[in-house]
Amino acid sequence: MDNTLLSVKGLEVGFDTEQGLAKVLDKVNFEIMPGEIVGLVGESGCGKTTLARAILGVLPKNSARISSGTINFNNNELLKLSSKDLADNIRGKLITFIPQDPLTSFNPVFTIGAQMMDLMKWKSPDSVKGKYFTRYKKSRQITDRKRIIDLLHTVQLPDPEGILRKYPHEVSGGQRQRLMIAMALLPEPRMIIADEPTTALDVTIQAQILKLLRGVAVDRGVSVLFTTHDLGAAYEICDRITVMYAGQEVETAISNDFFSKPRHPYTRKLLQSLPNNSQTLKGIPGQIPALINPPSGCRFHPRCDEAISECAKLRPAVTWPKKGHMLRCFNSKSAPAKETKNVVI
Amino acid sequence: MRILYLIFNRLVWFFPTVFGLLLLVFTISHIIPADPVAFLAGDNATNEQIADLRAQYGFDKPLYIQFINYVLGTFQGDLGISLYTQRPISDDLLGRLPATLELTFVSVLISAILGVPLGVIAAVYRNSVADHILRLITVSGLAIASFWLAILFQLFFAMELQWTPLQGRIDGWGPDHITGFFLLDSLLVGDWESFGSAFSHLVLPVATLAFPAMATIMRFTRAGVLDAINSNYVLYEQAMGFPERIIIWKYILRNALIGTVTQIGLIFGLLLAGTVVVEAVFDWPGLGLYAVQSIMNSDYNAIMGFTLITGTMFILINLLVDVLQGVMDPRSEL
Repeated sequence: MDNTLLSVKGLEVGFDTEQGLAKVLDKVNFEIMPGEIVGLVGESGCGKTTLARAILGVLPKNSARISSGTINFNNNELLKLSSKDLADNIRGKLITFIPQDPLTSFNPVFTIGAQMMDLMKWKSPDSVKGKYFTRYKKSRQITDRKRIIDLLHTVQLPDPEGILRKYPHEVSGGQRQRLMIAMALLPEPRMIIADEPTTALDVTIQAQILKLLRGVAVDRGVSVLFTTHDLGAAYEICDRITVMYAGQEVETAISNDFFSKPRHPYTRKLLQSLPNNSQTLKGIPGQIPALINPPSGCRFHPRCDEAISECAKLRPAVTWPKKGHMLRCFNSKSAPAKETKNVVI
Repeated sequence: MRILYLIFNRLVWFFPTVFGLLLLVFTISHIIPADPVAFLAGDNATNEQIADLRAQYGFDKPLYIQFINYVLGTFQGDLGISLYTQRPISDDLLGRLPATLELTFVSVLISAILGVPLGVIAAVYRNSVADHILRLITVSGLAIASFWLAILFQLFFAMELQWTPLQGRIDGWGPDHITGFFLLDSLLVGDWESFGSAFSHLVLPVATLAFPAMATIMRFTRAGVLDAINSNYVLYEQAMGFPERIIIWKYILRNALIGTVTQIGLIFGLLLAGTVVVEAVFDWPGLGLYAVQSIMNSDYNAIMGFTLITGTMFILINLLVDVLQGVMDPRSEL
């Protein structure tokens, strides 16, 4: 076995809608190494959240269809596990989750302490695999409580004891997201899936939270899958960045290359659309295609200036223009563009 | 601290509300185009006798004096004399109160015990066969008139199958009087025969009252659970792998119950009104039956007393519900 922690291969996910099946993920490949922080960027509706939810196994049961592909995590084939096995032994144990909106993601009627202790009851590193009906022993409660307090210090929350007695609406947005990071770390997972964790926060707090998340992840060697539409946030935190467009991954590169030598036309346009001190705001002409009946081949071709005739026929194969730099584009001209100016973030 | 403040805050509103109720009851009884004194004096009374009676009951005084006397009397527990039986109305009402309270409490209990879990099941398995069957039950519960249902129950279970008594509250004298609640009293003194009798007499009236109440509770619980199921915190709890049964029966239900509890307060009003019909059909010696008899006898003082006591109970229950809601929802504004 190679040492890849997470390996998604050829994952196809659709959603039943009234207009028909929306093909949200089109044979997506995606990998995360142990201890690596990988950003998944793209516009809203490109399938970032669907990919994150598919890995967790929490896609909406009645509408989502996984038609092909594999998700291998830590040598487990996740799509073959029963939903109970996933919930008991994978989610919250090996893979944890940081949500987009920490206010509405806390249960409003229980204190923060009660919710953390509940998490530890089932997901503490001490909890025995498969034993779900055992009593929560007092001795375990004491060590778990100490773990919680220690971790709240780690995420730099003042007065941890006091915070545990509060209700979620009684603490600030930044503190709530620090609590969510703490909860994601409590079970000592191998990987954290952070789904746009800073989108709901003030800009001034975003940077602190990103720094904190990167710090604790690197310290503990936890991998992070970080989805965002904010390239600036991805730049702050990620080792490697994958760009998705309309359910297809188009380019993956280590962060520095991603910002300095983007190769895919979509990536370049995405970077040009960032606010920049020398030019006016540039959007990308056209709009995200409807996924009920998406464009054939490379889904970006109707909006691409450099499209050639093959683009509409076939999805480009994976190429490796450089070690660690994956590209799916036919156009050989998609060689490094002129060095883009430093991105203002 | 927050809860104490909440209780105090609601209690402050209790008295103006009761005062409003008093004013309403008094006004309505005085704009009814019927003269209780004329009714009392009979057909052959002289004008002098009528004037005497008027003075005796205080009806000759200006309206505001009458109202003040009424309010003062009420706060001393004096609701006046029944024009029909000549007994103090407060005695009549207090004697019958336990019978009605027993009926309503048991009905609310049964409807909540059945309605809440069924509502959760309907929401969790929404649009399944179970949900459709439960929807059929709720719609019939809300649509079927209770007097018709009561008679149907009597015909089938009491007359045809003879499983339950036809009417009344108990066979024989009942258990020793402690609280006036027969179920409770018979348990307290260990009188199992009375308990069985009281229980079997309760079955049909409770079923009649609890059916629509259960339907309402089920609908509200279902809606509340559906709200919660689609919330971000449930997605988070699922993504963190909390056990499914804990998510449904602890995290979701606890949120859904906030709405249900408010509804139970309103259902109490529904049930108190419902007892008038149900007690009449089942010959249940409670407030409702008393109200029916008073209306038949044009006994205005008694009707006022009944309205006042049921209204006050409704206000009290809703006060309790407000406080309970404040306890259950830490976000609620005080």
